[in-house]
Amino acid sequence: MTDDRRRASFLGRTALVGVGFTEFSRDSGRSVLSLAAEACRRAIEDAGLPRSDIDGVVSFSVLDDSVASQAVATVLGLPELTYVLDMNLGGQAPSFMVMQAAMAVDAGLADAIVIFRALNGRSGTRVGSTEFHGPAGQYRYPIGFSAYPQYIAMWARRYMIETGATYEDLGAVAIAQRAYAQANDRAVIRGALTPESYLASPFVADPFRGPDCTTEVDGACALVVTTLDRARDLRHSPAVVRGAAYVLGNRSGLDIGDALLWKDYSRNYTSLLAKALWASAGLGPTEIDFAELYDCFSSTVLFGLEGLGFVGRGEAGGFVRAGNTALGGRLPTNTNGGLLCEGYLHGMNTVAEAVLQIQGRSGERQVPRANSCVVTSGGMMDGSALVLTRA
Amino acid sequence: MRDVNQEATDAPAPITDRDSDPWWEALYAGQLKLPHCLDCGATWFPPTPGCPECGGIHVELIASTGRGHLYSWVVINRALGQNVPRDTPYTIVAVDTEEGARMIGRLFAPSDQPMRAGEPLSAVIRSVRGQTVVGFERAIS
Ligand SMILES: [Zn+2]
Repeated sequence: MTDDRRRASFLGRTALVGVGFTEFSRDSGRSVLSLAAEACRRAIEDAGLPRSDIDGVVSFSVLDDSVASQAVATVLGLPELTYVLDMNLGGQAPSFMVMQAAMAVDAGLADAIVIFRALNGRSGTRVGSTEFHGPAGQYRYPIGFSAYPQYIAMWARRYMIETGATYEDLGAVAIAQRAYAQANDRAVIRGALTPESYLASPFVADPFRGPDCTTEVDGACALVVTTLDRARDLRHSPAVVRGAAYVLGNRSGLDIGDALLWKDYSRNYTSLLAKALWASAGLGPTEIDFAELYDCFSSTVLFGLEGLGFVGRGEAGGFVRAGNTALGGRLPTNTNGGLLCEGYLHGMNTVAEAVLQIQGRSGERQVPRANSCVVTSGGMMDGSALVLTRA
Repeated sequence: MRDVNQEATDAPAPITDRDSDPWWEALYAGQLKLPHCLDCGATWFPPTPGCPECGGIHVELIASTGRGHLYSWVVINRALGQNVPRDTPYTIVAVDTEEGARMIGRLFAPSDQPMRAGEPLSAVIRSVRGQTVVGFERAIS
């Protein structure tokens, strides 16, 4: 990335204004189209916008596990769309999707866009362990290297080798987030987790135990993006898109699970986009009140804290163990329990939680000071991030 | 989609392609090869139709010694996916070969000695569950 990039014009001029969820479950018994439509309908209602004002739909899918924006627009009875985008991406997409929608409304291509992620991720296609047909899978699947917990565990192990991080550091992330989940009715994993019960959990892919891994669910989540001018008149206070960045790292591989050409497993995309993200926002880590960091697995929270510059190299585990990411800590993090506990909506719910917190609507788990936050999307070679603030 | 609890039979055959066929053919003939760029001298894995370092298109397969050092590893404790091995726990290693490529493979002949980053490993070609694959053996036994 060049350092002298022109600041994107949508920053500070666009906002997230509505949030919609379906129930998260292990078996929805419903079509993905029905889930998608429900989340979008709720998000539009939540924003306080008439349905007729929505003129764009943006979404993403992996392994054809979702439905086209066109179908959702039809089911919602939207009059006419002027902007549609269906992206073939995974967990790196949610913040990037906000960027796409914000760009479109700022450029005048649409006035208000609903963005969604919907999937039967538990009862249907389970992305974490489904084979990707492409040029890289032929080297993984025949040897039994077959699922995301294993791929990311390979990175977590290298991070532990280089920094001296321990199982207890990974566990601290899972324990801190479980405490938040207990205040979140939507979370599918809510039982108490202690250092003892964490260490007593069987390994899934050493160094990961069960509590280090997200839980795949069926469900949908949607958000509405519009211009800040329009947002000011709506029901809830806007969550302003203040900063944004996406990066695909050098030698990022042949598919989204392929790290054979990626040189450094101890760092991910967050360390590559941090400088551009903070420059785009005109803010730095010390000015951020809370963080919603993509956590398909516990280690990616440690990577994010270090990559974004909240702590130095190898310091993230100690930072979490000291309580800094808990409610009332220096940087409350993953305040919905994260993907580890709320369920794996591929990080769409990570963005949604950031919006709810900025809007002051997170109830029992509301962070006391929520003027600014950082959100990340993605765990490995590429990803996106946002800085959201109150208006 | 297969249920993960369904008993696996043979390993899934690799879905090869025109970029990888020559590499697999060499492997089936008992030779471990690596793609190498005639323009910049880089060596990497897996085979690609262009050089990931310089973008050059003059790529050939060269013989690998199979020797390398341990970069990272994961112990697979729970089988996840379709048609995956049932003999958990097993270990997958990421190895940096002396030619400069990073490869992944099953660790064969593991020992009770703790794994150590940087330790020497040697590639072996084995038939596992009906498929010819690359694995690695430890120099420390
Ligand atoms: Zn080259």
